[in-house]
Amino acid sequence: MRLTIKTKLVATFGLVFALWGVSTGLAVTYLGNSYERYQETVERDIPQLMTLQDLATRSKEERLTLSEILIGLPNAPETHIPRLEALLLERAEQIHALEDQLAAQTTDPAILDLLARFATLHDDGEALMERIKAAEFAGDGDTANTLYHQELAATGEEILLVLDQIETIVKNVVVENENTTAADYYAARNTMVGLFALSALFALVLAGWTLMALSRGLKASVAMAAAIADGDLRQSPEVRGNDEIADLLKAQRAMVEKLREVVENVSGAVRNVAAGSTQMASTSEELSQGATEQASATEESSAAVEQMTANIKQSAENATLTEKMASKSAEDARASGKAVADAVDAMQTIAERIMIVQEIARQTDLLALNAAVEAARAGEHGRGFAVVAAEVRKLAERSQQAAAEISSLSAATVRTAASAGEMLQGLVPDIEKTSALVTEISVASRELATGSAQISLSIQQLDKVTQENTAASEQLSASATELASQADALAEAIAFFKVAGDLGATAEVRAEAPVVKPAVRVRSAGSRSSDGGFDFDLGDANDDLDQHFKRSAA
Amino acid sequence: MTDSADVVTFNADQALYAVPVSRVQEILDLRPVAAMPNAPAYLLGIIDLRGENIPVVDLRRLLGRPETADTTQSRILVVWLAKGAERAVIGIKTDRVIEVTRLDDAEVKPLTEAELLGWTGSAVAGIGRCRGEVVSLIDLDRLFDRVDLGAQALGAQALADVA
Repeated sequence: MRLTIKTKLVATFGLVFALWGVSTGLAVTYLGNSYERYQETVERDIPQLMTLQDLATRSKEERLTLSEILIGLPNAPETHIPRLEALLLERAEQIHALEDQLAAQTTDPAILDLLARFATLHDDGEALMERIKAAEFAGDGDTANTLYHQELAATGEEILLVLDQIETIVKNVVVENENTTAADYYAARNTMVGLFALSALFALVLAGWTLMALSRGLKASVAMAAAIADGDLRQSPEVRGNDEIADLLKAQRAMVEKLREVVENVSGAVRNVAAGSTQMASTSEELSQGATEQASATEESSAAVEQMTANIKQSAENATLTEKMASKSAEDARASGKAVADAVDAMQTIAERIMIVQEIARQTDLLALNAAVEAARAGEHGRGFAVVAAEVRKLAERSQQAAAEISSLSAATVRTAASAGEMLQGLVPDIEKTSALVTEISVASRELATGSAQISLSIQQLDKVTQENTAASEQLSASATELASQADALAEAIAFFKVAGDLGATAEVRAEAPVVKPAVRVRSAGSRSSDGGFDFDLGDANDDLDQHFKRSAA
Repeated sequence: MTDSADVVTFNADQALYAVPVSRVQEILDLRPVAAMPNAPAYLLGIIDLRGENIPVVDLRRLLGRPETADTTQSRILVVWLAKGAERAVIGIKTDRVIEVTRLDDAEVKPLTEAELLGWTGSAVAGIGRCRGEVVSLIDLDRLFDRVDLGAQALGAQALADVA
C-alpha cells in the first residue's frame, strides 16, 4: 500500500479527531451526569431543605402563636384570641401542606419514616396544644404553661430533632452528590487530560514522523536542487519510500539524469563545434590562400589570354594569306596539270615515231642478215659485200637499240608524266580543300577572337568572383573565430555543469579552442584597387606582348 | 673449206643452234601461217613465198622444247634439205636469227656419247663453238628422223603433197 503524505495526514488527523471526539463524548457524558446531579440537588434536595426549613419555622411559629395565646394581652381586643387561633390553625394547615409537599418531594424511605414520625410528633403536639389551649381557656394558666413549657417544649425539641435528622439525610445526599460530582469531575478531567495528552502525543509523534519524512525528503530535494543550481549533476541519490517526496526525488533524479545526458551531449557537441571551428578556420585560411592563388592564376590567365588573342589575330591574318596562296597554288596546279598532259601527249607522239624508227631498223637488220646470207653464199665474191652487210646490220642493231632505249625512256617519261599529271590533278582538289579549310580556319580564328574576348570577360568576372570569394573567406574566417570564441564560451558555460568524469573533457575543449589568425588580406600584388576587374583590349595591335610575335613570311 | 665454215646461228629456247649458210635460202619476218588439217604438232602450216608454198615447222616443238609467245625478233629461216635425191624447201620458225659467222675452231665434233646415252633420234651433226658459246650444228637432213614413223610418214606425205 502506498503510504502517501495525504494518507499520513489524514490518518493522523483522523486519529486526533477520533481521540478528540472520544474526549468530547466523555466530557459530554460527565457533564450530563453532573448536570443531572446538579438538577437533582436543585430540584429535589434544595426544595426538600427549604421545605424542612419551612417546617421548622412553621413549627416554631405554631409554638410562638400558642405562646402568644398563652401570654395575656392587656386590653386585648375581642378578636385577638380568635385571630391567634385562626393563625394557629393556618400554621397547622401549612405544616400539613409542607408535610405532603415533602412527602411528594422524596422517595427516600428513611426520610419518609422520619416524616411519618414528624407527622406523629406534630399530631401529638397539636393534641397537646389543644389541651394547653383548652387549659388556658379554662383559666388554668398554670397547667397550660406547664404543659407548654414541659411537654410541648419536649415535643417541639423532638420535632426539631426529627427535622434535623431529615435535614442531615438530605444534606448527606447533597454531600454525596457533590462528592460523586467531584469524583466524576476528577475522573473526567483525568480522562480528558489523558486523552488530550494521548492525542497530543499521537499528533506530535505522527506530525513529527510526517514532518521528519517531509523534511528529510525536502532537504534531499533542496540539496539536489542546490547542487543542480551549482551545476553539480554527478549525484543521483537513492530514493526510499513511496510518497510524494519520493516521487519528487525520482522526478528530480530523472531530471538530473536527463540534464546530465543533455550536458554530456552538449559538451560533446561543443567539443565538436570547437574542433569544427578550428578546422573551419584552417579551411578558411586555405580557402583564402586558394583565393590568392586563384587571383594570381587569373592574372596569369588574363595575360595568357591577351597573348593568345594576339596569336589568334596573327593566325587569322596568316590564314587569310594562306587562303590566297592556296587559291593561287590550285590555279598553278591546274596549269601544271595541263602542261603535263601536253607533255604526255608529246611523249606519246615521240614514242609512236620511235616505233617507226624501230620498225625500220628491224627491217634493215633483216635485210642486212639476208644480204649477209647472200654474200656468204656468193663465196669469195661476196666477201666485201658481206662486210658491208655486217656493218649495215651493226648500224641497224644500234639504231634498234637506241630506238628501244628511247622508246623505253619515253614510255617511262610518259608514265612519270602521267602519274605527275594524276598527282597534280589529285593535288588540285587537295589544294582547293586546303583553301577551303584555311577559309574555315580564318573564320574560326575570327570566332576565336570573339571567344577570347568573351574569355577575357569571363576572366574579369572570375576575378570579381575570386575577390568575392576572398571577402567571403575572410568573413568565414571571422565567423570561424567568432564561432570558436562562442564555442569556448559555450564550453565554459557548460563546464558549469559537473558531469561524472568529464572534468578533463571540458578542459580539453578549452585547450583546443582554435587559434585563428586574423583574416588574411588576400590581394594579388598587381590587383587593381578600383573595381577589381581589369581592362582587356583586343583591338590594340601594338601591344608590348604582341611585339614578341613575328609575322610569318607574308 | 670456207663453205662449210660459214654458218647461220640462231636461237631456240635460249640454246644456240647453227645451220650451214649454204643451206639457207632466205630469212623472213614472221608472217601469217595457213594451218593445215591433221598436221603434226610441229608443222605450223604453209606460208606463201613469192607464189610458192613453203611448209613451216616450229623448231621448239621439233626439238621438244616448251613454247613461248612470238617476239619481234622471231624469224622464219628458209632452208632446203635433201632426203635421198629429193630436195625440199621448208621454213623453220626460230626465236631469233643471230648472224652469219664462222665457228671458232672450224672443227665440229660429233656427239659420240649420244649413242651411249640412248639419245637415238638426234639431229645434231656436231658440237661447235662460237665466241666461246656452245653451238649445236643441226643436220637438216636428219632433222625429221627422230620424229616417229607416223609423224614422219605424215610429214613425208605432207612434203610429197606440197611437192
